[in-house]
Amino acid sequence: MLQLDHITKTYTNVEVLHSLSLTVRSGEFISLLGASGCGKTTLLRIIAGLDSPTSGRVHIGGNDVTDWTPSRRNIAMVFQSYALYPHKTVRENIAFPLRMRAPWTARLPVWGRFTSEGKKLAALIREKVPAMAEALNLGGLLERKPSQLSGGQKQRVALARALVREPSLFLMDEPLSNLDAKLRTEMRREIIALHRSTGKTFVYVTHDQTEAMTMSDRIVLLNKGTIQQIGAPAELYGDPANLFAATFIGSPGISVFPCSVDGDGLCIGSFRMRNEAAWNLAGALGPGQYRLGIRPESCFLCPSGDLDAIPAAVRLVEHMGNERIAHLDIRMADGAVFPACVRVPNDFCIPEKHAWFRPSWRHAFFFDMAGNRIRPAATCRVIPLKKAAI
Amino acid sequence: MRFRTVLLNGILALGAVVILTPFVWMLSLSFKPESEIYTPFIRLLPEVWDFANYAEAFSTGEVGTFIRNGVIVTLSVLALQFCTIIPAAYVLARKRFRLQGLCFAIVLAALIIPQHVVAIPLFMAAGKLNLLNTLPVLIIPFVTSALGIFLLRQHFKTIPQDIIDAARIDGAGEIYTLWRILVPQILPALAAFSIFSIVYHWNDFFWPLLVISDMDLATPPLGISLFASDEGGNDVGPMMASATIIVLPLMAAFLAARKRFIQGVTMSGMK
Repeated sequence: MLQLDHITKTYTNVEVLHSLSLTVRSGEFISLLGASGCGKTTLLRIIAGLDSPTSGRVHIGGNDVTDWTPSRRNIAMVFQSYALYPHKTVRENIAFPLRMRAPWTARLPVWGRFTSEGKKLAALIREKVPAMAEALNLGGLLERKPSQLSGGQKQRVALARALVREPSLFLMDEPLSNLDAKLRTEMRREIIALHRSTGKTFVYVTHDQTEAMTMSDRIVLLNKGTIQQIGAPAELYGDPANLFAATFIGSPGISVFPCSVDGDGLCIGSFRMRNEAAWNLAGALGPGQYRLGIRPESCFLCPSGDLDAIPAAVRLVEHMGNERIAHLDIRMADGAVFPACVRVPNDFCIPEKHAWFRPSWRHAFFFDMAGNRIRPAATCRVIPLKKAAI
Repeated sequence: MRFRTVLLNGILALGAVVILTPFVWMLSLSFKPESEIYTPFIRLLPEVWDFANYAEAFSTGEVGTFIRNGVIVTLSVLALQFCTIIPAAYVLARKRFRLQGLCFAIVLAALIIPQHVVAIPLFMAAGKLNLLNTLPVLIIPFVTSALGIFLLRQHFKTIPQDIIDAARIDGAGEIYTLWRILVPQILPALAAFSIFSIVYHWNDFFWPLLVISDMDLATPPLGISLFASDEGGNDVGPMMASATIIVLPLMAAFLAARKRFIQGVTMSGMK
């Protein structure tokens, strides 16, 4: 179990982490998700012991490890750049953590080989390294140097090196971002399978929401050094805590419109909504200015005559194969233009220039002007989703 | 295009001839008997191949002693330089500390100070320490090298921080990481520096001339000069033979390490 207690990190007067607290359960796969510069890598390095927090404590397995060295924490880390030792073969790379954990007498040049510790170490390496290599499909590559491997193979060697010594905690710093798209999806599944088979705690840093959504038990969404939301992938998508979480998660992204409520009901920008659901919402929200977020699958193209149809200009239609994404521009009365995204089934006709669309109020999220989520009573229900089985 | 290639190769060939001629001439003379050395004609190959010059170089010229001294001095200098420049370069490249900029500036400044400027203070210090006319005086002033620190620092800088972090997480201490993870990655630079250092100290004439007067302690270039002045310059054959013997190890070393040397200087091949 990993516990972070009010972690703050300051670099020469710039505070990059603001009092973060987080508890990771044993065996959990947790992702630190955020744009670059949000502090997720710094947080991971603090967990690893490569950086020390300015204030706050790190607990691993019940011990306060804040002042422990990285090796004493017995964590394993996989780096974005793989960080393989270029002058060592794959076998030596994987064996290195074992070698480092052996008594120093076993590591003496030449002499070490003849000590009993040295013989034990050699036997351990002979037993563990080929087995690890086999498990990660590196069987025939043990004698190669890292420069002779492909990106995916290097990544697997890095994983093998991390796994070989049974760490208490697994840290991964964007391990897949140097791979091409196809390999990335394959490695994603391999890492999930590794997590299942080892049952270890994984902390996975990524800026890629697809990775975070598909792999994690829980996601920690970070922005500018603060936690925006912690939750299961379905929770982040279906019940965002604030505007940042709503706009960060989802691809294509959520459409955000200005929204106002007055005595006559609810307006999206300059378009007044007349249907019953909108009336009820207006009543629940109370008068004021809001921002409305609608996911692309929660709005529909409709005929121009429909009740509450909002006119829009069609900017772009993207073909995804199984469906299309229509990118619309909505011009309000004051001249401001807001983009909107709509998922459209393949058999549905998209007009070339002008279309009308209608939001579904079941999946509409309301935020105040500061970006905090507002939950009008009994209108926005979260649709619970099970984590997709892989 | 074709013409350009020919022209370029021609220019390069000309340069090679200019540089190689003295060496070829040295080699040629070293195999000629005395009667063939002073002739009005230029003849590249000797009519009679004569190895007596080499025999004489060893028997009367003490070339063996010069080479032994040279080997002791250059290898000691190199070993001691490794012990100082590797830690210094590592610290300058990878650590943050106060006055770091100043330290690096001092290294850079030391790069541009010629040996001759500090020769007299060094000579006086050596005199005070009663080291004149000993082998250590040829070694001690050169136990570190600004060039070496600079060169290795640049190479240490190119190693990604991730690799050092990975070693720390895997459980390697700092010194272990330096010698077993980082140093193996800058071998080309070390090879290049070794060649610089060996060539420089093997060929150094100025400092040995100042501090050594005993023929038994002479390094190769000093030895040859002592040899030449002793014999009044009539013994060209044995002198050329000695010179050949003395440059041969350098040439062999350079040719053997040529690839690494070029890698180390150009910093390519590192990735």
